[in-house]
Amino acid sequence: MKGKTWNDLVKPIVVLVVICILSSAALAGANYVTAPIIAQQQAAAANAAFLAVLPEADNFDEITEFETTGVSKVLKAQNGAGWVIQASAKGFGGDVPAVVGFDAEGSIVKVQFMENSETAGFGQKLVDGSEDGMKFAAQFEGKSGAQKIGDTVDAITGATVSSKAAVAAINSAVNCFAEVALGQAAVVEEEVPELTADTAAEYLAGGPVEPMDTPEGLKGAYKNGDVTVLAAEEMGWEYGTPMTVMVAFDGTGAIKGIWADVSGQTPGIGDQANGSEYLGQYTGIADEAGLDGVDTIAGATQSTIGVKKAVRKCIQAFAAMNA
Amino acid sequence: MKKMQILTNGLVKENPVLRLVLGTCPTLAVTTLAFNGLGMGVAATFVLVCSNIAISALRSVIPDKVRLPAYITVIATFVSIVQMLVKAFVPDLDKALGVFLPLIVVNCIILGRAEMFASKNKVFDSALDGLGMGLGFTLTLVLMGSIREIIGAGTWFGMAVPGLSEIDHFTFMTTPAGGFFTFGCLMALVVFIEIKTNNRKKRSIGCEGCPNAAGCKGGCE
Amino acid sequence: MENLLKVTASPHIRENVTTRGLMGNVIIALLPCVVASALIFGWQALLVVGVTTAACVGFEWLYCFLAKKPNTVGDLSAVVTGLILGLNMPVFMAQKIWIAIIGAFIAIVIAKQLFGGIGCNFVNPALVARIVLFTGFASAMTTWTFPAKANDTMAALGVDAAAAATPLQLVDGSGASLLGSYPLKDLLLGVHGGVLGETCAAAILLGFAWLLVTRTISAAIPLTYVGSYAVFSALYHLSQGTEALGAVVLHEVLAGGLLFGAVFMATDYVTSPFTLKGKLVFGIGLGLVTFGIRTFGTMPEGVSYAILFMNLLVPYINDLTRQKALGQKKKKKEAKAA
Repeated sequence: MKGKTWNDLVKPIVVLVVICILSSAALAGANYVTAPIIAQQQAAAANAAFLAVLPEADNFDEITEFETTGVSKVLKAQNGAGWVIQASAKGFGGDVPAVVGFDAEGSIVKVQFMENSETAGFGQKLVDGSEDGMKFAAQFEGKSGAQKIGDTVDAITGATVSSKAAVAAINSAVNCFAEVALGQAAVVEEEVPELTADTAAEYLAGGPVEPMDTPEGLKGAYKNGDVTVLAAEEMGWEYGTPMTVMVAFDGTGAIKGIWADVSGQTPGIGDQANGSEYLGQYTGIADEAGLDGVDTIAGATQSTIGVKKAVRKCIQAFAAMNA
Repeated sequence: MKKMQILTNGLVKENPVLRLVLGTCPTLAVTTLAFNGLGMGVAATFVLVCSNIAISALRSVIPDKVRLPAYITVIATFVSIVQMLVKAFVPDLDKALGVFLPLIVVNCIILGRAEMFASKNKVFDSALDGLGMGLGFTLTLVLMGSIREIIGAGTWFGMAVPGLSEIDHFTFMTTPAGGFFTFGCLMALVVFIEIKTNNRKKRSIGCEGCPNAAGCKGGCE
Repeated sequence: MENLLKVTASPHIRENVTTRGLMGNVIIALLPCVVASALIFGWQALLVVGVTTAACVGFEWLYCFLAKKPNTVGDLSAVVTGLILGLNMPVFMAQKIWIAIIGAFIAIVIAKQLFGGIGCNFVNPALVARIVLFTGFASAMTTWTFPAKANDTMAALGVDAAAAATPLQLVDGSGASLLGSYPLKDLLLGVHGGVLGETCAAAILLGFAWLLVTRTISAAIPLTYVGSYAVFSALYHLSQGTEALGAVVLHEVLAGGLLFGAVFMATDYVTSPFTLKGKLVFGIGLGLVTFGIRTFGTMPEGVSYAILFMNLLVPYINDLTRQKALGQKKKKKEAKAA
C-alpha cells in the first residue's frame, strides 16, 4: 500500500519538482552569462543605423526639443561631426522612415531607409539592398537643402509614390536640421482635419450650413450666409469608387474652396486630387472658361479630371441657380 | 546496434524529415535561405543532443505517468538556453528564424526521439542518436534551403550564383507554395530511390505516424 | 446468329465526338483571339503564343515518352493548353521567352501529367501556370505595353493618347465624356494594354459563337458567370450611386480577363461540373468571387484566382447537384416510407 502511494502520487511530483529546479538553475545561469551581451547587441544595433549615416560620429546626444513635423528622432554627435535625424513621410503602404546624417554645415552625408511596408519590388527597393535602392539613396549624398524629384534627384522607376515619400521624409529632416542646428523657425505642417462628406460642407463654408434644394444632377447644396456649397459626384480613377466633390462659392460667385473625397482613388496617386497644390488652382475661378487653365496632375490624370468635371458641374449649376 | 550505425542512422536511413516525416513545419518555414536552414539545423541539433542525454540519464527516474511533462520541461529548458545563446552571439540568425527558434520545443523530432530512443537506451547511445538525427535534419534543411534560394533568389548562402544574377529569379520558390512544392519534389526523389533500392518505407500521416501516439492518445480527438 | 445479340456494357448509342475533335473546335475558336492579338500587339504576340504551344506539345510528348505511356499529343489538348497559356501572357514575354517555356512545363507536366493526364487534373492547367508565373515572375508578367494601334484611335477622336488609359475615361476638351460617342466597334475591340488574349472582346465573342454552334461547350457557364458578375457589379454601383451605371458595368465586364476566362478557361470539361444545375452554381460562384476580389481585394487580377477557387469546389458542387438516375428515389424519402 505504502509503496503504491509513493510510486503513484509522491514520486512523480518529486521528480518533476527536481527537474524544474534543475532547469531553472540552468536557465538562470545561461541568462546571467548572455544577458549583458544581448543588451549590448541591441544598443549597438540601434546605434548602428545612426553610425552608418554619420560614420565620423562617436556617440550621440539625443535632442528632444524640436517642432518640425514628420521627425521622430534628433541626435547630435558628441564630437561635433554633425547630426543624425530620423524622419518619415506617408508612402504607399504606410510610413517610409529615413535616417539622414548631416555634417556640421548641413550637407547630407548619407541616407539610409528603415523597414517599411511598401510594395515588394517597388517601394521595398528602398530597404532591400537592391541596386536601384542603393542608387536612389546615394543621390542624396553631398546635397543640401530641400530636395525635389525631377529637379535635384530622380525617383526609383515604377516606385514614384514611395520615392516621393522618401524625399518628403528627407526634406523633413532637412527642415529639422535648419531648426535645431541653424536656429531657424520650424516648419510645422498644419494638420488638415480629416473631412468627411458631412463635415466638409461646414469646413468650406466656414460655419454651420443649411441644406438647400439640390439642383438636378448634383448631390447636395448648402448655404451659410452668402457662401453656397454645392456637391457633385464624378468617377475619378476607372477602378476606384466615385468621388464626391464639394465646391464653395462666395457671394460674387467665385470659388472659395474645394474638397474632394478621394477615398476611392489610388493612395498616393489619385488622392493628390485632394491636395492643396492641385485644389489651390481653382480658387477664384468664377466661370467655366476659368477651368481651362487648371492643370491635371501627371500620373493622377483620371482622378484630377474627375474633380474638374465635378467642379464644372457645380459651376454650371451655380450659374443656373443664380441666373 | 553498433555505435557508428546509430550515428549514421539519422543521416539517411532514418532521415527525420524525408523518411520519418517529422519536423516538417520548420523545414518548410525556414528554408527560404540556405543560411537560415543551416542555423535552424544546428540549433535543433544542439537541443536534440542535450535533451537526449538528459532524458536518457533520467530514464529510470522519471515515472511513466509524467513522462511527457518531464520531457517537455527538459526540452524547453534547452531551447531557451539555445535561444539566449543565439540572441547573444548570432543576432542575425535570431532575426531570421524569428518565432521558429522557440518553436523547436514542439519540433516532433526532438520529442519523438526522446520517446522512441532516449527513454530506452544508454546515455552515450542516445547522444549519438541525437547527433545523427540532428545532422540528418540539418542536411535536409540545407539542401532544401539551397534549392529554394538558388532558384528563387539567385544566391547561395548570400553569395550571388554566377550566371543567375542577370535573369529574373523564380521568386515563387521562396514563397510557402514553393516550399511545399520543393518538399514534394524531394520526397518524390527519395521515394524513387527507395523503390529502386527496394527499401520502400511506409509513411503515414496523422496520429499513426507520430512517435507520441502512445502517450497522447485521446488528446487530439 | 451470334452477331445479332450484342451483350456489352453501355454506352450503346455513340456519337462521332472525339477528344481530338472537341479540342480542334476549341483551337478554331481561339484563332480569332490569336489573330487579334497579332494585329493589336504585333508579330511578337505570335512568337509568344507559338513558342508556348510548341513547348506544351513538346513537354507532353517528352513526358509520355519518358514515362513509357501512350503518347497523347494527338488529342490536341496540349495545343489548347499552350494557346490559352500563351494568350494569357503580355507581349513583353517575347523578350523573355524562356519564362513562357517554364510556364508550359508547369502547365503540362506538373498540373496535368503528374496528376494522371487528361481528365484527371483537378485544376485548369493553363490557369495554374498563369498564376504561378504571375507570382513567380511578377515584374515580367505585369509589364504592359500600350499598343501602337491605340494611338491611331485616340488621334481620330482628337484626344491625347497619354491622357486616357481606357475608353471609359476619354474626355474631350471641355471635360465631357466621350463614351457615348465612342464607336461601339472600338469599345468592343478594346485596343488597350493587357495580356494578349483578353483585350479583343470581339474575337472572344466570335470564338464563343463558334463553340456554341459546334456544341462544344454549353452556354451555361459563360452566361451565368458574366451575367452574375454584371448583376453583382450593378448592384454594388447602384448602392454607391455611380453615374452612367450601364457604361460602368459594361466596361467592367469588358475589362481584364473576364470574357476570356469565362469562355475558354472556366468551361474546361474536366474542371467544371457535369449537370446544368451544377454549371449554374459554378457560374454564379465565379461571378461572386471575381466581383469580390476585384472590388474589395487588392489583387489586380480576380478572374484567375476565382476560377482556381471554384475549380477546387467542383467536386462538392457535383455531389450536391448530382443527377438522379432513373428510378432512384431520394434516400430520405425511402427512410420515411420504411
